Amino acid sequence: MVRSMLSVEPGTITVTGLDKSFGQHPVLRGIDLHVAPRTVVALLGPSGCGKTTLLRTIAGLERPDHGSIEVSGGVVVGPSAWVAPERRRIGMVFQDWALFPHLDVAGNVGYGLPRKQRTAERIEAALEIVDLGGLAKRMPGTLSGGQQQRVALARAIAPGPSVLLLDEPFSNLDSSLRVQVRSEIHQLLVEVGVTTVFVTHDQDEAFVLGDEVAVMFEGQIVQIAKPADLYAHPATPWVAGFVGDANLLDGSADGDVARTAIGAVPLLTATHGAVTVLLRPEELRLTPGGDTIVELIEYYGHDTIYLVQLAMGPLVRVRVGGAPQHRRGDLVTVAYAGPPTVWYPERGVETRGPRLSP
Amino acid sequence: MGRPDASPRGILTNVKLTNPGGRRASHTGLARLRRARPVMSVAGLVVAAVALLPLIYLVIRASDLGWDRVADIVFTSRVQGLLWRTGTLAAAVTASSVAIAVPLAWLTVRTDLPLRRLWVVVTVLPLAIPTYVGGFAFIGALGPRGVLQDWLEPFGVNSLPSLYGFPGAWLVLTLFTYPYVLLTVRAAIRRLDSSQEDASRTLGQGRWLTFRRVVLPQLRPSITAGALLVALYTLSDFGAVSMLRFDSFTRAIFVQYRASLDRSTAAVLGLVLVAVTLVVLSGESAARRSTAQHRVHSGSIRSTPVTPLGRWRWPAFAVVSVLMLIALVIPLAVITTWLVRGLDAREPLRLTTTLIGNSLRASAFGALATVVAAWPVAVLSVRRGGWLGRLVEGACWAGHSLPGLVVALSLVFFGARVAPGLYQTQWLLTLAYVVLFLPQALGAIRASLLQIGPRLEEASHLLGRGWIVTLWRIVAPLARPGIAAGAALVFLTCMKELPATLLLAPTGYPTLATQVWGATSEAFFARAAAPALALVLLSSLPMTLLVLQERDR
Repeated sequence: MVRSMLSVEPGTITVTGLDKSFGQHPVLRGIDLHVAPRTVVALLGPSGCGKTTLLRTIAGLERPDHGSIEVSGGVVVGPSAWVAPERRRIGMVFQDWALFPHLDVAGNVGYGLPRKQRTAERIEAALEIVDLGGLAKRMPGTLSGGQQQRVALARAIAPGPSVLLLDEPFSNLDSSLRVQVRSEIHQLLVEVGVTTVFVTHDQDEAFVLGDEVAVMFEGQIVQIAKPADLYAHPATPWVAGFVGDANLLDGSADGDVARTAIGAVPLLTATHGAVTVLLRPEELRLTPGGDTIVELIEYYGHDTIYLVQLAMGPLVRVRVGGAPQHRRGDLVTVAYAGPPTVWYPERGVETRGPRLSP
Repeated sequence: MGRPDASPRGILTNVKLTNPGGRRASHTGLARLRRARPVMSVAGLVVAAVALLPLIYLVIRASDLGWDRVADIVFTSRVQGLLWRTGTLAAAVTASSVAIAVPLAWLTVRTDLPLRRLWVVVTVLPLAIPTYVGGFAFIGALGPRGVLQDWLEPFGVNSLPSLYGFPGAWLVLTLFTYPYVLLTVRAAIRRLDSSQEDASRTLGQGRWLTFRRVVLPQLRPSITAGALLVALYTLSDFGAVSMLRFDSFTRAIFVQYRASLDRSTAAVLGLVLVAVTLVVLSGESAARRSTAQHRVHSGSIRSTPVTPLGRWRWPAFAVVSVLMLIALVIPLAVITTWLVRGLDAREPLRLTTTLIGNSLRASAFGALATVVAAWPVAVLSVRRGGWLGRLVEGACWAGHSLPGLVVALSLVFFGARVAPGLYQTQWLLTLAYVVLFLPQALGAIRASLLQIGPRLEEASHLLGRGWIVTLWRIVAPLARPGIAAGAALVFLTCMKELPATLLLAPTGYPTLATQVWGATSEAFFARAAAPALALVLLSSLPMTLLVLQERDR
């Protein structure tokens, strides 16, 4: 109902061949990215990978060295074009929210509106969208973290931007609040239908909110895909580990099957010779008896992770639903029960970057 | 001249005053051990009484006249005229200081101004020139028989537009007090969260609108704080207005005191000036309350962004250079010219060494006494808090709102009437220094005590040491940097202090400050040059250190 008051024309973003250095240090290296109308793209990567710089460059707060950016069909930066940030019609929510401390909530939300549209109704409508109706006269410092977050969002979408950028939107919230706020924002983005790019280092956040996830590492986009594709078919062993728990087992391929320390594993594509295969912990099964020792048990409520030591080989993580059914020191057998999986040519060749421990 | 004086740390202590309630210790255990001993409480109360003595005695003295007489003195057209002139001067100096300092602060922190790092230091240095020295320099340059007229005489120019009166006082006070605003505003600009400016840009506001709608409102408290310092300084300034013959309150009080035997009138005028000071202070605190701001989020503040000035880069450089030429180079050049003239005329330099000796002695006594007096007050306010600590500390800040001339006047009366044994001795002058500069020493010592924290003392007590041993072996050695800083600061401020020294120094005890004033007012410019230069050199040392420290922060 109220949401119809907000005129949002979903835009597109096209980034082509973007390079950017701070001094000698390259932060963005040949970035290409296309964001379709109404989609939410997550930029996921470890700190220092350049994801925030990419966001700030789209907003016009940084100038790239090379490359171009189009927003909704118009070039905003290119070899012979520069549109100042205030003319790009891009909304942005900052990591620290950057609320103006000297203005009340209404003053903050109405800040970007042209003088004629800076009416109480218009501001109240924007506040209703983020469920903050009636708080217009409060000062930002008197609001809770979650409320400040939503004021920042209301301020960004009030002028009706064609594109919305969010920089680590949830990193400043308590972990108890984060999941709840995330759901609220998720619902809001879906309902408003604004084209959105957001930056995060949290894989959960990227998967929950993102229609597509772009994984960044050292200034490059390593892979861009829908979350489920990314999880099942990561482009490199590093991506596999970055987006979830990953067992990477060496094996020997013969056609569409690889022999490994836990037995035969079906492969997505046929090959021959030495390979490394990705085995997600929840695709593994444990049966009592065998020569594999249960080293450690971690119980999470909804499921249990077993760390098991293969007789000839590494430690493997196995995820099983429900409460623990084995004890430390038990002998078990591990088997793969999932769909055909991805393989990588040789262990270690492309494991650039840290293999994050889950 | 006088009270806040051109002292570097005066700014810091005063800013601290406007942001009260620093760290309040909230420890529960061993509170008993922490409690300051009765000796400290008694000593603190004595110091508080001393700090309030001039004000109280002035009230007693004025009330001797009877309220009808007081009303007769206050409600006259003469006092109205004084109020109008002093108020106008304070407003004008404050406005022009803000107009100079805010752009200058922005240029030296946020832009690619050529030689920016050098300007950061240099633009504060005019504060190291006492206003009466500045006044002397401008009279020496532009006044009759001045340097400029000497140069222009061959071209047939026989007289210059007069510098005396309002224009001269306005110019001199602005040039040598605007750094108060510069320092407070610059600190605020460094604290700004630049992502707010980014946010404003993404919300469709250009650079200028962003400055007006986001930056300027947040600088307002610091501008107000700096403007307050300038206004209070102007109200209490004695040296510059007297030299430039501008009939402000301080000059009228001095003339009244010197010219007639009716000293009670001077006391009443002094009280009126104190009242004006209090009005300004309360106005500032009201303004501060109405612009109460909440820190929204302690987000990581990105490194200070630099705004390229583009084609305005060199024009801005030229403007800053011209300003520094007027505020620093020309005064120093003029003083040096007069020094050379004096040497040519065989003016004895021997006199200056006597002056330096006198100044050093008086200042050393002042610094020592002030630090000794500040110690119990600092201990009480940091370790005890409560009503007693607050009362004692509050009394000691009184020096900040009392013009130096008023304190001196009150002590003259006090010495002549109540304590003739003290009158015309070094002791009374030292007492005046304590009253005036207690806040400076207090600020420095208090800060170092806060850093020590009560845990070390508690440990010492648990190891079986009493409070005297703890004080001597733990607290005093650790607080030494703060004590030394406070002492150095008070020492240098005493060197430059003019009105109290003028009124209270024993007969035949000239100092650098009184010599500059005396020689200038009798137009012996050459005789004023050497002591003036000595004063500038002495005060620019701590100023430079302070600015370098500010930049590191």
